[in-house]
Amino acid sequence: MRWSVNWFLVATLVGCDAIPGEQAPTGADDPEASRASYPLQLVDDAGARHTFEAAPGRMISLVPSATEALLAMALDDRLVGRTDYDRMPELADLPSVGGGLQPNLEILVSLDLDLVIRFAGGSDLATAQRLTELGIPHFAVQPDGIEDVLSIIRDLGRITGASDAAEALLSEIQIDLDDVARRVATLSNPRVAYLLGGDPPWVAGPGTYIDELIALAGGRNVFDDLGPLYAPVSMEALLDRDLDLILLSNGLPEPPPLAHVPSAVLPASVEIPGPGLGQAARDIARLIHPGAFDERSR
Amino acid sequence: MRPLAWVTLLGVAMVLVFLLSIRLGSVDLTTGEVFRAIRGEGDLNVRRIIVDLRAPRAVMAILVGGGLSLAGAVFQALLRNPLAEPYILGISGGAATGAVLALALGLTASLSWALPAAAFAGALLAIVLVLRVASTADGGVDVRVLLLAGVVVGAFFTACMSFVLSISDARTVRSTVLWMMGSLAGSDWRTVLMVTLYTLPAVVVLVGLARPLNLLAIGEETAGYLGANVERVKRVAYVLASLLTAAAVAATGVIGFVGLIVPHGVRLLVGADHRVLLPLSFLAGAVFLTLVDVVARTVLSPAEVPIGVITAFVGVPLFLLLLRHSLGGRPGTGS
Repeated sequence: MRWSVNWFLVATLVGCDAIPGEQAPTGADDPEASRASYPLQLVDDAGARHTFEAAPGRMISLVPSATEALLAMALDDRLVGRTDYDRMPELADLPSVGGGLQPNLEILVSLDLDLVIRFAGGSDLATAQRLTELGIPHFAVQPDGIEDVLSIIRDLGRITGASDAAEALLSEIQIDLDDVARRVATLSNPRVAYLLGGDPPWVAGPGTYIDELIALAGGRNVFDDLGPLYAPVSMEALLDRDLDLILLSNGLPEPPPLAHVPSAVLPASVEIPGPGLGQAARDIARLIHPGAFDERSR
Repeated sequence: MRPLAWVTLLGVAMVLVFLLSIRLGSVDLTTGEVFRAIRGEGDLNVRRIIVDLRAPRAVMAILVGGGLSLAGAVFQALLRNPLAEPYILGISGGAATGAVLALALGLTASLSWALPAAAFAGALLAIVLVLRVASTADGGVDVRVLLLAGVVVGAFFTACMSFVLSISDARTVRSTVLWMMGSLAGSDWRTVLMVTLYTLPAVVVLVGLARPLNLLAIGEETAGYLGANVERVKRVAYVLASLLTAAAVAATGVIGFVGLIVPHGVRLLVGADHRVLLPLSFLAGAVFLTLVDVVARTVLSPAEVPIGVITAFVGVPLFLLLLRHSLGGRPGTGS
């Protein structure tokens, strides 16, 4: 019973291309699925259409959340490079291309890559253009909301021929998300803000995975009317929103901006919207509704 | 040293730093590999690194360094003010504002040429605005007003940029700030070609104006008596030097200091004869920026240090040393 609900949710969240006709997530070793996948046509988050004739052998991910997803699918052997932000021990010996935005092109070329996973959006248009000129295939991802993150995992699975691992990962995440949602379903919604730091402080607005996780964890993001994804807000606005709880980004200097509002620091892992999404939902929910996680029996 | 000796020396230096610039980088290559790649042989990826990444970048450093430096030398002669340089005249501010607007409006996502085009339009707007304000009733240009108007227009553009940034989302802010720090990393043959088309003719004409610029340096009235068409020279030189700046900013973002430090350094070494000063400023600027770029992309490899940081770190001590030295040996070498 739970399974069918989960898969329905995944399908709704991820969109129309989700696993039509597949009954159980454990359809893992079904040869039909892997044989049918190439040549594979996918549209990336920058709107570019890609055709994959075979699974790429030599890859690099410039996007930490995508890197984590690839590792979670046990695809370490495909990765031949990393960024300075990837500090996982599995990748420690690989050459770094610098930051994920404006990576070092010389090193990228020297890695002889079949595929680069890069950020979509306007942050780094030059890199996309140069990669095309240099004949290096690149696939753009934009992990803004939960749905984006899940569909990136699914796409990465299909590209690498590891759809089964991807679906297994997705179902694990979904179990966590469902469990959190169930635990907080009947509880009140405290007014929450997520502060990234800065002066004036930056907060998460609608469309961000943090905003969605707060909602899922039974809270209400008081800045769900913000224009852009993340933006600075004045201290006045912060006071005016009548907060019950401030969630602080990991590594922020003390003290929290409002002394009279309780605050809690999120674990660093919450800040990468990748395969740790389920755990992140759990972490946030624990801070918003500590009581909901007290008794083991639920 | 004789002027010709300087030209030869800097010409050779330019070739050498060009070779150095395609020899050194984040990826270790042997000299043999580099030469094979230049001849179109050897590993495809090595060829890509040399031919598609390092070579256009080295050429861009020569064009932008030379162009900014020459523009600075011309502005200093034109305005008879040692502080004059492209950035003080509001031109780079205009270019940067154009670029920031293009980034903030998301034009750059669909059109790859939108950023240089917008930067160029912004620079032109600044030039026209400043020239308009500084134009006198009899069709001349008042250089004091030009300088003041440039500073004020520059400040205005800076405010525009800050405003656009303050209402933009985090992504735009990030990409814009990266762009504003200046970098040669985006150099490909297409941008090199574009910058060459603007730079080469402007350099030729400006160097050709050396004699009237010498006369102008003495004083506008004297120059007029000696047969120079003062107003036309001023106008042509101003527009061309501005175009040099606009092309450089459009291609590489804001790279400061070069237009100020290099021409002054050259002037301290060879004197203020523009027939020598102008070509040498171009060559010295080219050598300087190419070297700086080698440092910028190797010292913290794989990351790159913003090139403006290195131009300041290398250029300022060097310049102060020259200033100090010239005070001891040769007084009175201002323009």
